[in-house]
Amino acid sequence: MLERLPDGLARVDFGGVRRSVSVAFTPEAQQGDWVLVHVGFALAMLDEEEAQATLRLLGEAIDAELSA
Amino acid sequence: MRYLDEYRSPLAVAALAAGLHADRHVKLMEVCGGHTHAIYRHGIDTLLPGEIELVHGPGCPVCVIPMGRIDDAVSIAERPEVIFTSFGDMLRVPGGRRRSLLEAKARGADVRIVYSPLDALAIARENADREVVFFGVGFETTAPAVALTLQRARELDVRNFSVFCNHVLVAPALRAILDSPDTEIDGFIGPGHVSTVIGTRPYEFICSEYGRPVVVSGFEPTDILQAVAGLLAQLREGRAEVENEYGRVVRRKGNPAALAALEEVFTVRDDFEWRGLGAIPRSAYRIADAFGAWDAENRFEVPGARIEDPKACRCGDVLRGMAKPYECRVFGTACTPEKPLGTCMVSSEGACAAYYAYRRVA
Amino acid sequence: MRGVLRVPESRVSDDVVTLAHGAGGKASRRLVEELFLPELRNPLLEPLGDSALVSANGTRLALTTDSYVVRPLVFPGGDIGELAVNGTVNDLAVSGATPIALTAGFVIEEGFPLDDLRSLTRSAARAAAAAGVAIAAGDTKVVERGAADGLYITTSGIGLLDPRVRLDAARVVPGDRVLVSGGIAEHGIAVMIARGNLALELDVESDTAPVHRLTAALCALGDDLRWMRDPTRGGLATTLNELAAGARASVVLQEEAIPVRDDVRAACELLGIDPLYVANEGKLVAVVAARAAEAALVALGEGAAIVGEMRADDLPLVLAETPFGGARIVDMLVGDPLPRIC
Repeated sequence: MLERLPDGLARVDFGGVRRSVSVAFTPEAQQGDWVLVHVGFALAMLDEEEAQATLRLLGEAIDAELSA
Repeated sequence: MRYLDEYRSPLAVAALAAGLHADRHVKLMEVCGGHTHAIYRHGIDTLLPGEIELVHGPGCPVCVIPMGRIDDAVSIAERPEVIFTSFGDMLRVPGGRRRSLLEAKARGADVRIVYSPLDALAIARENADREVVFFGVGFETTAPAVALTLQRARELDVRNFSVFCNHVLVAPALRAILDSPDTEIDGFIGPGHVSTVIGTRPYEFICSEYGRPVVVSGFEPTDILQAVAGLLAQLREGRAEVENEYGRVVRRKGNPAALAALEEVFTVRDDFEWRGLGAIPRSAYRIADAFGAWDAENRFEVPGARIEDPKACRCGDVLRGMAKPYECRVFGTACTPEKPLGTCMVSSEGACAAYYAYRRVA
Repeated sequence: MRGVLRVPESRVSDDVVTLAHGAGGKASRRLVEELFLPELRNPLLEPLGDSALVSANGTRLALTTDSYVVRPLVFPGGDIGELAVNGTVNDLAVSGATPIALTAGFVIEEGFPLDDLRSLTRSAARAAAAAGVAIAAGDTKVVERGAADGLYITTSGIGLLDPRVRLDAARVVPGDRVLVSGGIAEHGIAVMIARGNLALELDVESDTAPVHRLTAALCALGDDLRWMRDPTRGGLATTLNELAAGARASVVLQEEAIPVRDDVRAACELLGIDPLYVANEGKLVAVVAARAAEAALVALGEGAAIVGEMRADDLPLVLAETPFGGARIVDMLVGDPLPRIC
């Protein structure tokens, strides 16, 4: 999320492409947050802790395989 | 993009795939069109051992719209005063007599592709002398966006805008599949993005009433493989629970603001015809009376015909996981992405389109 | 890959021309093969290359024509004038010819502002000068308000074939490498932005440019240069499908090697389109012998990449291999995501 705009909108960057999306469903999202966008609406914020947890599980799977 | 590359790491994919086995033949249904597409794009099913079979469920909202409703959409689009707006993937879906929206466009109808329903509302505001209709298609991932757009239309009193509502619900469709006598599904890979809205609670009945495990999954190869691993573990241990592999964006309670918008703008229809699955009770939305002035079905007369699928079409069997695309007699011959007989071939998320794109016959 | 479906070509007759016929994909091909070719049949036309190769008193020439109906007329990075010149220069260049002269026909809508016409003509002149060609002859017609959408331009070009090369897809052999001169999908995205109905902000410009200097450098490879084409409508995918059909061999791509700018890729993902099917206007595809691949890369300069190689196959296809060892078939374009792209 690049910046909040008036009227329940925000400017979001998708890897170099920018567009305004509605944040009606993610009112707590702030500049710098990562959001999941669908048809012009932010539906969910990326939960950093959960993302890290999933990555840790992947790391464990790789370790398990390499030591097998 | 952040948090993308790691989920696609070939090392992780290989590691996860190597750890998968089952002691009997297991059928796992993936419900979401996005999952079907991801699986075939990355060749994930080729990484699985033979005893684990992935079957495709009715998770493609474009595929399940019956031909009669397409005809209704086309009849609205053909009116000279109408600007008909739609998501791109609906344009080539064939109706009955009246063919597809793309063909209607070729014959002069003003049909326009939009990325968001808000863009359709903007078109209405910029064209006060025309009637703008939005083709509302999609599961609970998309319906909140349309709900919000209708709220905005009412707030701004935009008189020349309406929605032709064909939004459908995931959970009732899953129940219909589980109730079907020839269903042999052992577990479900739960839809990713629908779950950001509805949460994981709506799937709990699959475990409590039907004893099958569910793991909600993201769309990267590692997500899907982790979900399969989770299902296999549950089956091995005799458990049937809803697990969430996609915790980074899905919460059990879903998105309250989106659910509230759905509650306000839509009511659930008594029943709705699903292509290939027949009528499923309480499985689709219609626009609530409070927003009736923005309901295209109140504004326009539509034929409302119930059209039989072509006899050769096995979309229904494919959608229920009973047949693979290449088992349909017309797959790749009379039915191709260019000239589709059934909608499983048209939408980029349809099982047949995915199989055709990757030329799969086994 | 487990099994491959043989798909018979479906012969369907549409009774009217649709936008799909203009998209550069399957429908376009059918229109040419089922309507134009039977009516116009002659040996010069049948190869259906980017240019016709004609001989006059022992001199080998390339001859080509193209019409430009792009909407809007001006877009980030260029306009219809520039496009009309570069497009035809490129059709000559990828046929192994040095462009000599062009003609330009203008079909103008009544009411079109003279200042705009002057500006677009100036663009065409600049592009011609940059490419070292003269617009030697032309024609103008005016049609009633409502027809021609402002302006249509048709250009024809003539060029001198380079004696060092004999470009023919039939000369391609398994093991030959496929190269692309730079990032794909930029022109199509730039035109979409200019159409203004995307509500996306990005700084992508059309890649319209003449490629004759690149092709001349490649011609130095002589027999090791097998085939070239500029991937315009229908994108890289369509061009590679034509290659597979002409060479009767499969094109095996490495998905990760295909150059696409990050923001172009992001825009394509948002719009649900595959960059392989989006138009380019300043790029070329070349097939060279394996031993010449490094030299070809140097000749093409920065941004160029080896994207795949040719493989013997009973059923010639274009295949894109992913890092996980999966492969997907890249079919020819079906339908028309972006009408009036060039």
